Amino acid sequence: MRWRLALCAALLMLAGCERQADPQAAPAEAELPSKALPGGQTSFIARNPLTALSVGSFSQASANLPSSARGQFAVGNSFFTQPWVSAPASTAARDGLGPLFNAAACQDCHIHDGRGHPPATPDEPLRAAVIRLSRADGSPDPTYGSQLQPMAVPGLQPEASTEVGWQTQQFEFGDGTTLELRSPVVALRDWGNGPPAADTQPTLLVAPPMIGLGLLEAIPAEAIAAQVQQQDAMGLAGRINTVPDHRSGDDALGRFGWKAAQPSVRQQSLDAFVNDLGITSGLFSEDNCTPAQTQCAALPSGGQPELQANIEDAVSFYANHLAPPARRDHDRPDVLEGEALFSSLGCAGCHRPSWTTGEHPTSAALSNQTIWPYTDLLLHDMGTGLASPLIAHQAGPQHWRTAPLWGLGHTKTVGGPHVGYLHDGRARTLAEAIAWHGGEAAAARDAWAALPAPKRRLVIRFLASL
Amino acid sequence: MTVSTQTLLKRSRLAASSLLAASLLACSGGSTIDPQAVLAGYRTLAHAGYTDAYKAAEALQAAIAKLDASPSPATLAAAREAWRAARRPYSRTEALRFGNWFVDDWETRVNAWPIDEGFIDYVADGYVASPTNPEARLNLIAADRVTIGGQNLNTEPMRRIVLEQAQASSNIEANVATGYHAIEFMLWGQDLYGTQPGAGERPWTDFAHDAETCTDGPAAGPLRHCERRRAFLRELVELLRRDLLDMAGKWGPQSGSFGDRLVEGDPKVGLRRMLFGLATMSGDELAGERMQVALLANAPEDEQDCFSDDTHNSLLGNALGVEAFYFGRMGAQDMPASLADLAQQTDAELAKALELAFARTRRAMQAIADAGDNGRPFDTLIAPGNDEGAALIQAGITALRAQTRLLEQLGDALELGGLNPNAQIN
Repeated sequence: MRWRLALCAALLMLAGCERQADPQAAPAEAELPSKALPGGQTSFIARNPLTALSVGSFSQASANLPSSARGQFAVGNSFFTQPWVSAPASTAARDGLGPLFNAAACQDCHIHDGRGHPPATPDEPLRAAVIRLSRADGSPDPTYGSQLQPMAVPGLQPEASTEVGWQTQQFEFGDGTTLELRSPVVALRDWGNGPPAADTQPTLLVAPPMIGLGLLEAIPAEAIAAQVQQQDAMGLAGRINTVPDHRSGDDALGRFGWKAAQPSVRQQSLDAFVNDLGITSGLFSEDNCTPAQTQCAALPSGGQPELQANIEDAVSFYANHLAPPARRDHDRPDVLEGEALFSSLGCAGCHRPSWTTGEHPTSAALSNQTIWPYTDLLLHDMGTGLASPLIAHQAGPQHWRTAPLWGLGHTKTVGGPHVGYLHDGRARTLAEAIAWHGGEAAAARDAWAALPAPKRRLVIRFLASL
Repeated sequence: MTVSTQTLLKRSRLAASSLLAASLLACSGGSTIDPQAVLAGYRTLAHAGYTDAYKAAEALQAAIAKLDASPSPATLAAAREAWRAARRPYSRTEALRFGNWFVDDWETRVNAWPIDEGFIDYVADGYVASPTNPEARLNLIAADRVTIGGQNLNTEPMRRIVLEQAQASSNIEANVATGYHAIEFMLWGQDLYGTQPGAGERPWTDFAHDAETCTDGPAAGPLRHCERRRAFLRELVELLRRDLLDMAGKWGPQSGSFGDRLVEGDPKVGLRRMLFGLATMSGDELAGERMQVALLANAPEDEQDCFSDDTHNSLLGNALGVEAFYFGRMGAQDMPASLADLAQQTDAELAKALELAFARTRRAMQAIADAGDNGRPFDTLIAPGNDEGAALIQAGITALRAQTRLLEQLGDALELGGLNPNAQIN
């Protein structure tokens, strides 16, 4: 035995010294190119290497967030996910839902922090989408306000019941093949306070995904505004939305929402709290009852404001720090070819691939990151096909903000089979979404539609890799 | 007495590893802690931890079998005691959840909460669930066929696969049909005491074998409900037992197990995963999700073991688990190398600060557990206006946050390049 032990020892000593000489070398993570990490260092690389797509793809904190800041993210996550209850209740912090509301939790519509969806069948209640109301001049309905709330606390009648049906039309490709497109037909009945104004019209909106919002907020406003001139030279007519910043009282650049009507993640969140959940905050202190809705206004409040400042901070922190997932297959030949087409067809004119964030006022993790959101954050005229009666500051009926495309390939894994694309979830596939592009995007759309089918699919392949 | 070759080999390996330590000392001038040995200790303890949890689940299964065979106040009480005992070892393993994607992915099968319990069984009149959860009053026990998230499921007979499907089909996280908390609800029923002392009081007659005795809580119930409750419990505990066995295996010493790959992979990535996991459990999950949220919301819905009122023990177990994996010591098992040793070697001052921080956390969490064992469970501590209770919980949060910051500093001292979940990939 003795010689064997000695041999082992000698061998191990060698191995040991070798290990010490090069103790823990370089990390095993492969160096990825910038575009594979759309959120820069905040990007979350799939935690399960066996399934890159996961229902949790949009629910991860910025990867570069220090552990000591993750407690705040966890608190925000809880208040984003758990349902609010109507006042009065034993839980002072979680009460205040309604009296009128669309959802009981942010997560109801932002399914797993991703998109919402229109009802799957006409009689299914509106669960992960909202209906905005606007009159011909863009003003809110005098009785029901700017958003319909089809749910109410016990004892109060909801504003209306909803029915979302679809009408279809055919889209024709250059090769003569066709694609069925659908658009929503919204019917509202059982009005709680009598009929709305004669010219009030509905607009269906689904909840957008939550990823990367803090990064978009950290893009310098001047850089966004500077594009207006550059696009003019390219034959595009991107415009900024100038919107009120209720915190400072000044006008600010609109960045968030389908019409870029909100200047900051916090204001967007608090707007959703009051309009979607019926929860008042320091910024929006009045419940969403109009003067005509006296019964609504008379119901008990969950505190003044209902959203405590510390919880507002936590949810805002959470909403700022949801990480875009890393891309998959960014270097596959078909994906690269699709990416080149995306650019040459003109899609990248508005879906601007990359930005560098500035200094975020409160978060080092979000500052100075090279990001790949594929948006210019500007409003564009998208044509009559997508037009709705909704007007928001400088955004007219045909204007929509260029939607960020990061995380696009995860959409249905995160949100389920009923989740679609565009502002009302009408597009069931990415091809349908492209086909709906009109107005300023018509030329790029037509160039794509003129391609033979395999080439068209390469563009889809690229989009699915995001 | 013959000594087998196997034993001899083991002995020679033992001797070899002490020589290895000596050789490291020799060629690196006093640096003795091999990061790989630290990871090996982590793996060994993880395997031991899940094995303990598995054994306790087996004991719970035996107790549930007795309740199933002859429901009575005594067999129900014994099953509850076995559930509490099963939570102890499991709560310590939760320190492994983060940094190890295969644990975090699996965790929702065994430990999902909060629960909208009307999804499972009858509820009292004042039951509050989300008005937007269409399945919040589904009542799996009463229904032979259900539709969940558009999926039609046949729930008669109750089979494990049906429970798994019921949970997976729902888009709503509160619709839970597997794991410890579903079992907890079956054994205790709803806690109707709010933030007052008192846990769930499900009567043993909910499991009765004869139609005269069978109840749905306070009301008489059809025999079928009692039979289905017993079947549900049998399937629940069998699923839990299998899941724990599966997870213990993933941390086994065999070549190619997830645990083995962690030990054999890049040690820098391994240490980063380990530290990220312990820091995340301390600061994010325990101080944040499980304590800070409950304290802010003052809501019994926000306490994890809300039916049994055993939350205080789970919280203590969670904290002790983090401590165990840091020091490489769990019960009688003492690992030859640990993160604490690595810290000591790298920065003795930081190691001392961490030791003090863990001691402070242990004292604070023990105080919460003691309160719970003396008639002041967690849901009474978070009651609005209970300043003393809030101070107890706040002390735990403060200690855990300090511990988190120091673990982060240790990551820097070890030059791990920041604690980052992306380090999980290897």
